Amino acid sequence: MAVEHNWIKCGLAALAIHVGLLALPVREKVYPVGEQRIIEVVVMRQETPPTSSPRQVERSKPLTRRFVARQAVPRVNREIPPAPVPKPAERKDEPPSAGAGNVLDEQIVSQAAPDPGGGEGVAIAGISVGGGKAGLGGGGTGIGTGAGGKGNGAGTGGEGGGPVEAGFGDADGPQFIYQERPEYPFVDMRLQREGKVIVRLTIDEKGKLQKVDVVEATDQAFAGSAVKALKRSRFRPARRNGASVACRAPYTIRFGF
Amino acid sequence: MKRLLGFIPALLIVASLTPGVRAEEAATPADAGIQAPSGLKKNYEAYDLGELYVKGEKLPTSQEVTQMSVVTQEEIEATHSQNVADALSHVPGITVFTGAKNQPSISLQGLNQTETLILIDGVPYYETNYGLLNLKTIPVSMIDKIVVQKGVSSVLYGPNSVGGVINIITRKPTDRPSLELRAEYGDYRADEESISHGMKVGPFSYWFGYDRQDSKGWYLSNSFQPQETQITSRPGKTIYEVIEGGGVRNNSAFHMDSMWGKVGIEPTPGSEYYLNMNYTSANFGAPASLLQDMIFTSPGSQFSQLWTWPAYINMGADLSGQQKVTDWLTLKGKLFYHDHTDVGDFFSDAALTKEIARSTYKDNTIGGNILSEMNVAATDTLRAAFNYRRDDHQQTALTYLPFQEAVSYTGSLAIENQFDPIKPLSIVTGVAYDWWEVTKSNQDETNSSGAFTGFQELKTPSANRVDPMVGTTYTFDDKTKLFASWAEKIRFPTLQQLYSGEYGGNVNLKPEKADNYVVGASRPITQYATAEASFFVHDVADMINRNAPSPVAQYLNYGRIFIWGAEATGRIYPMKDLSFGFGYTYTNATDQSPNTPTSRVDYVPTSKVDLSAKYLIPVIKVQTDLTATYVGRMWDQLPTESNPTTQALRTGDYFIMGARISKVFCDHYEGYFVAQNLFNKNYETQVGFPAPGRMLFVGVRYSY
Repeated sequence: MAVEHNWIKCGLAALAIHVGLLALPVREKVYPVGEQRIIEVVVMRQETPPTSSPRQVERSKPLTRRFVARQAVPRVNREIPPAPVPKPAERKDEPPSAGAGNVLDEQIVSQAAPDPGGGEGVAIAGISVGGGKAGLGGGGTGIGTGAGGKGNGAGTGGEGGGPVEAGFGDADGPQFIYQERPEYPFVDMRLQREGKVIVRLTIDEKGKLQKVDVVEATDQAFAGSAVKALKRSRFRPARRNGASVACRAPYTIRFGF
Repeated sequence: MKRLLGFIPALLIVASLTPGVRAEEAATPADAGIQAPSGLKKNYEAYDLGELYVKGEKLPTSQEVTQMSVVTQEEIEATHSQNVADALSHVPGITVFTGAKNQPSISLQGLNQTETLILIDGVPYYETNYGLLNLKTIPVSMIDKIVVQKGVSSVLYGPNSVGGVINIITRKPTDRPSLELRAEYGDYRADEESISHGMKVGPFSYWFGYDRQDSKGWYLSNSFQPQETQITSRPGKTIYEVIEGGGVRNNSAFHMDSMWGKVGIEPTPGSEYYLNMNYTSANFGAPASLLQDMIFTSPGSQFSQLWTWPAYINMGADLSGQQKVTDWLTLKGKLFYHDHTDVGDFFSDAALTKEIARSTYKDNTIGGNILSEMNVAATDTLRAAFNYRRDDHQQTALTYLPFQEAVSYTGSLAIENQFDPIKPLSIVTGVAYDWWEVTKSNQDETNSSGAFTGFQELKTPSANRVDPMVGTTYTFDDKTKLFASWAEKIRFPTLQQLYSGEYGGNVNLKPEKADNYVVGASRPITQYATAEASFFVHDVADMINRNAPSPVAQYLNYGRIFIWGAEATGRIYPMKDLSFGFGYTYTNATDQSPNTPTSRVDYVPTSKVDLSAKYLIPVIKVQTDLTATYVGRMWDQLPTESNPTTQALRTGDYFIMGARISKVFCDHYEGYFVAQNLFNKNYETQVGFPAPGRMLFVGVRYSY
């Protein structure tokens, strides 16, 4: 039959071509700087921080505890968006160093109030972290005293302290139990457009994602893809002194080729 | 032609005048971010360690050189599509018709579904006789997205992609176990239920889904006016009677059970093997034409257009594999087997009480393909593909007759090279050797009393051709992309067009040949919008069509059908949680065949407009989706060279809207309400076949 000869010929030709292609001496592809051959969607996962200190993971060299403590306080205010946490008025009265002395960095963010639900907190350098009572409420404020490098903050925590500010990658920050990979939006893939989405996640003490605020996004296609994936992800809550607490944490997703 | 050429500079001017955003700007969120929630400012850095990097896969240039549309899950939900036909009806450039068999069929930029290659996960799906996939039998609950490539397509796909390629991508499991349940209830006892579940266990994964759709029928519009229908009996006489009085459309019931599943293993990065399986069983009526219907009652040749489909069964098994052999070589392969059976019952009265015949069709396809992709150099990628399949069709028009059979082979061998000499420029060239041959065709012969007398062996044609393709893209710094391409394509006749005997079959048909041209541009317009526009030409020789509107009219090759047009699509994000989509397609088709009595071409709407709006109402968090479609008038019946006195008929233009309101509650649940054909418009997609009136649905979905 002619057709059998025809498809057999085609099949043999195809086989010959594929074998021939396999036999070709092909040099390893060298990518110019700044260009990558994309094989598949790759998710770069964050590494486990080398230390229990939430801030040290960012440092390129070891820091003294004193320095860490001193730097940590303003960092909280600089890095985390302002809104729900009332600006500590006491900062006007007492410079951060006055009470921060040799107070441990860990105390600032991880020491829980004696009574998690009582609204008491530990005040350090004029800033106290509200009691661990989860919920959406104002953070507590208080005035601490400290002298001679040995401060012992005591303040009144806010009623039902709100989510603490935390960061992914912090030792006691929230973590992904399961991280859904966002899909690269087709419209942006077709335009070969790269982008970035910054969100702020509100995660309760049970690890449940309460809210996703898009802080920035290159376009809404990227934002939509990121939010959709985050809503399908699962989280481990942030912890303070061994207890799970509600938190807000910024998170960035970059899209690129 | 001058008007035609005028579009090119116009497109380029539009593309160049619209404000763009430079790549560097777009990549700097601080400068190009969308609006932030109130109270949040952009003057801080996010904690860099909490960061995810998602790499996008650059599309092959052969997909970049023409206009594309993608229907996402969100769009499928927003339009309340229940099957692929519904979903495609909102795609710019695609028009969906539903006619005599109650089987939707599409037109893509003026070319019919038989000219369009439809794939499910990269595997061609169709029943072998008509060469068509019944898009109504593919439930969307199994679908992740639908990718529509219009006009020019890669040579690696093989033949029969004259109009383009539609690839239906099904869902697959994610790392997290998923479960989705949906229940919906609609007008006139229509309901749909679906369940799907999938998960991964180490390198292994599985996914399955079940979808049930049931409808006792659908309502006609309130403005529907009953009319007399011409019913012609042969032998016999022609009568006129009213066979549709309004309300629920006669014979419009539909029932379907559909199961889809896949199991797979991903042993190493870049390598995966999946076995996909599906089984669909449906039964449905076929509302009769209100213009004219025919009934044939000769012994041995009973047939009628007053019919139902008591059984319509599809099953498929596809084995797909991808192996990354080295960093520069990847091999992909597919093996597939598809089986289709349908049973048609034919009646001699509109009330469907007097059955005159039952026909059974059995089809199967077995085939496979292998594709190798080699990164020959930093600037060069070489791909080679071999496609092969065997189509078998068996049918009996009457239960006492033996099955007649036809068998054909289709194959292609193709090589495509993608050359990227400089970063913004990419050039793709390809060539395919496409071939096709019918190896067997016999037909039942009966005597004057209808008794079987033997098989008649029919002519078995063959054809082959070399089809080249060239395309290029150029991307500017502001991400404006220009693309242009040309391809020669071939479409082989279907077995039905060759061998439907007294119902119009013509064994002397030649393959259709087409030259496709596309030139266009796509670009972001600031961070608030994206747009794409193209100008296209389909110059088709030997297009196959019936020479009259009758179901027994013979298939012929038309000399030349020349189609040109332009398409513009885009999406706008004016503010948070609000977006608009738009699409406009202008298509001009002329019959330039010698001796043709008319230059008109049927089933090509001059204009089609697609609009959509999506808004999440703040505070109450209710999602609203509005969709609107306008389809211009279309010729449905035209005089031909052999039937020059045939009356020309065309559908009226129509504008229909739909709305969906939904709200998520208790985290995992979504309740929704849908109104389709919101203004209860009475319209036809084919003359004599009124479309559904306003339909209301309410449903709830659980998703984990």
